[in-house]
Amino acid sequence: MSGADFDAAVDELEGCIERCGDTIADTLHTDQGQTIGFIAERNSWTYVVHGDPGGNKHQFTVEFRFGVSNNIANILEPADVRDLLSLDSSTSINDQHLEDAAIEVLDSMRPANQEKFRYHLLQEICDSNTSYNFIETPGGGIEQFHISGDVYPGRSGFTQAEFARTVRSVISVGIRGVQFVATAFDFESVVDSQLDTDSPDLRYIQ
Amino acid sequence: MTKQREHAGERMIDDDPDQVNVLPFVDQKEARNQLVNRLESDDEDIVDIDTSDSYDFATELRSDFKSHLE
Repeated sequence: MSGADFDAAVDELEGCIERCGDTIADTLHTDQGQTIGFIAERNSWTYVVHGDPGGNKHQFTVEFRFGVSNNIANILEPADVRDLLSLDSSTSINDQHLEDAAIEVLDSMRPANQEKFRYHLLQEICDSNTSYNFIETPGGGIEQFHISGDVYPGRSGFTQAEFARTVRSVISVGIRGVQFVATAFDFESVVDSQLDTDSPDLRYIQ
Repeated sequence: MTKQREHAGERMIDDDPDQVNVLPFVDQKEARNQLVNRLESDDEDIVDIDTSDSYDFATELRSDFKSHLE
């Protein structure tokens, strides 16, 4: 597959996203300016489609990323951050402080709870049609989880239906993980009820 | 920071918050209170939604396996 073929595959994926009725929020580029993928939105959920022109040019990945620590960082108050990081009361809180404090929260969970959190999250996101990946905190907590599936737009036989099916699987499994996180932290009552959009097998948030 | 923490040997990712989903909180202050309550009760199980025996079984099995190796 040539560079031009890779670019054609990227164009094809752009069309696939639009035909799914999803919105392209941004475009991903290499440092040299080559388009390698897209950040897309379906309802309130974001997914990423990207390939690697220097790697397997046939393979593109559809990915749903969820940040456990990002959620915690979003709701911590400055006083919480100062407490968690033992900062002086005059310290101005920035994004790095928020991230560090959120990771501190995750790392301060007792090991048994960390282990159960991981175990049950795995139960939710293990799926034969998708892959998962964890990003861990230094203390072994789960900072992010990623759900992904591969599509091959440069190969014969690739269809819109295949792309749509992959996106649906990735988001559906991702939302199952999101629901578990919401339940584990007792957030069910404070999240938008639209959380359960277009997934028939959600279990916790009604 | 995130790039350094990702598992060795796996593809590097961009640490771009625009690519990361978060919960659609309708009340962030209440969410913060829920989080504090949850942390204060960290001696309780963080997950109490699954009452199946599978977790206990897996723990027991692993314990047995480790004993077998020792």
